[in-house]
Amino acid sequence: MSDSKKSLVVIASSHYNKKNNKVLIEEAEKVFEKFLFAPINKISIVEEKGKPKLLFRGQNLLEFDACYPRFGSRDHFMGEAVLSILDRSPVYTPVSLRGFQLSNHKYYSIKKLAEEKLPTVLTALSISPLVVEKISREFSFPLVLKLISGFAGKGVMRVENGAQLKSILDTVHLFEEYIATQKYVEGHSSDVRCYVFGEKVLTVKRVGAKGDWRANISRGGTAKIIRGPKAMQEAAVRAAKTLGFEICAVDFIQTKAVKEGFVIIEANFQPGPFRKFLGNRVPMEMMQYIRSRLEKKK
Amino acid sequence: MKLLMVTKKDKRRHPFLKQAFEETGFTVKHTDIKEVSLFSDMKGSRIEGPRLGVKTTSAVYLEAGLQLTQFVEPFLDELERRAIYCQVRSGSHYVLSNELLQITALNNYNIRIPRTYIFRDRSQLKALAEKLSFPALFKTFSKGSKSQSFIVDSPKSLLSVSDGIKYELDGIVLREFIEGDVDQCAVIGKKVYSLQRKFEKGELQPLKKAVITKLSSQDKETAVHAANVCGCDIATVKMCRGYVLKVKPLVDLLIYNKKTGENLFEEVSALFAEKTGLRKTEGELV
Repeated sequence: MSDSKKSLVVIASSHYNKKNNKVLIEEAEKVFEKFLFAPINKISIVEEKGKPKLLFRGQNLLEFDACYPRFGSRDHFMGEAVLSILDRSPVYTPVSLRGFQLSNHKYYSIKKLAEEKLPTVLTALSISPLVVEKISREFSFPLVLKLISGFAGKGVMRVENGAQLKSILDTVHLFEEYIATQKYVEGHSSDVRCYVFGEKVLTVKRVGAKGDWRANISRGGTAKIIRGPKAMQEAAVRAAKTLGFEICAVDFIQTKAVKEGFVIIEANFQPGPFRKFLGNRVPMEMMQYIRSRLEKKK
Repeated sequence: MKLLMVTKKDKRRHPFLKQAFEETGFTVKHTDIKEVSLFSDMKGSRIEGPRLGVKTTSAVYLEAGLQLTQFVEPFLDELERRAIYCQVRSGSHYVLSNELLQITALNNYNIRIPRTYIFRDRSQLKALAEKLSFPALFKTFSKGSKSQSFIVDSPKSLLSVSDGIKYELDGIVLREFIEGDVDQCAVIGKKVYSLQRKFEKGELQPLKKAVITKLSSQDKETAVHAANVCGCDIATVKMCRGYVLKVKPLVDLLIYNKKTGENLFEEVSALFAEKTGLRKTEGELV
């Protein structure tokens, strides 16, 4: 494309949310002269003679100016291959293979953030259920168990006591997923999500559905934009950089247990737009940020 | 100098390897990976296990199996942060446990691989089959690992095989089939030991029946390069007619010892001695 005209391809997950992607497409079409929406299961990769191609309906996606991959852990097999190619191509992308792998691993992401002295809570990872029982003595109850490949809070369990822990660990089939054990931080069914677009942050408070200790919107919670604390916004930008993202969402719980007043719970590779509560705001920011990065690249 | 052997299960080769490490000058502790746990908080990260003594460890020999990737990767990251040498680097198990990613990684570094198509949706098969020469290798992946593999000799047989698969796939690899004997190379540092597995009547001989073979220096370089691209100083690299087919982070040392007449346990311990500075170069003790 010519210098002033810019093209973007969004690579969506194989089971993409049609309504969420409709708003993303609307915003992309406002900002980019050429836009393509490509679900990952319709893409093919050609590997030969050191020159890969990413094909969708006959078009090589590596000829676009920018690519925004938005898929989850269910697409990790194809997703890792696609991201590996994008990482080494001249196509601008606001995420990375490393970011995908880290954000899909609830222990590993906390480890990298903790090493950067970002506020996190004590988290452990082990293979054997027996070791998890030993670990739990270091944490005190309640504690949180997280399935390593879990997403949207479905793989997160709050464990109140030893008997409950034993019963969960006895479900050995589950354990094939690995479990990260995390110290429980009281969030009063709410958390704060910081959407990061480069250095810009949009802060959103989420409140969980009645009776649910989690604050996930996908589980019936609500969301509203707030004026976030500056320290939290700075932490979100640092967290994104540490994990290899220019666009992502970083989730916090506000707590008095640490001097910073908040801890990072996790980062999201493909954050949802909370369309019902925030309208087109998040996709609009995403698209404008990608466009601005392309202008800077020029 | 202390070395930890962290393995998934006790294997027949482990006592020989332990002995070789000890004879090289390492103090060795052997532990099951299930005994190991990882901790992180704002004070830092740590590796714990019964009497592991990680703080005084200089090297870790790791044999964990690719199904343990989600544990192994942060473990390797922690070893690197502590400057503890391990024969596999951080990122290696991600690359090796996902064959689709491994193919892209090898091609990214210009390592010779057969022409390959990677995709997920079987509706693309017909169009891709027209672009490929036959026979071809058709591999399917489901629930995080390889589920089936077929050699197909025409687009028709490819579509017929595909129609027989009734479950959802995570990925499909369709690649040009390189017909010929397979050179199965044990890479240890910069050294390569190769055994040839005959391809006869459409089947590949088991490794136990393989015979010693001599690789060209170019193929040796390719094997070492492929292992390194996948993050391994020690690996098995399968090659055919100069093409790299697959890399695994493990060498069946007993079979290679028997077939080649060399002592690969000593080679492994010498590599660790060199990498940890226990021995500067071959034969020179610090």
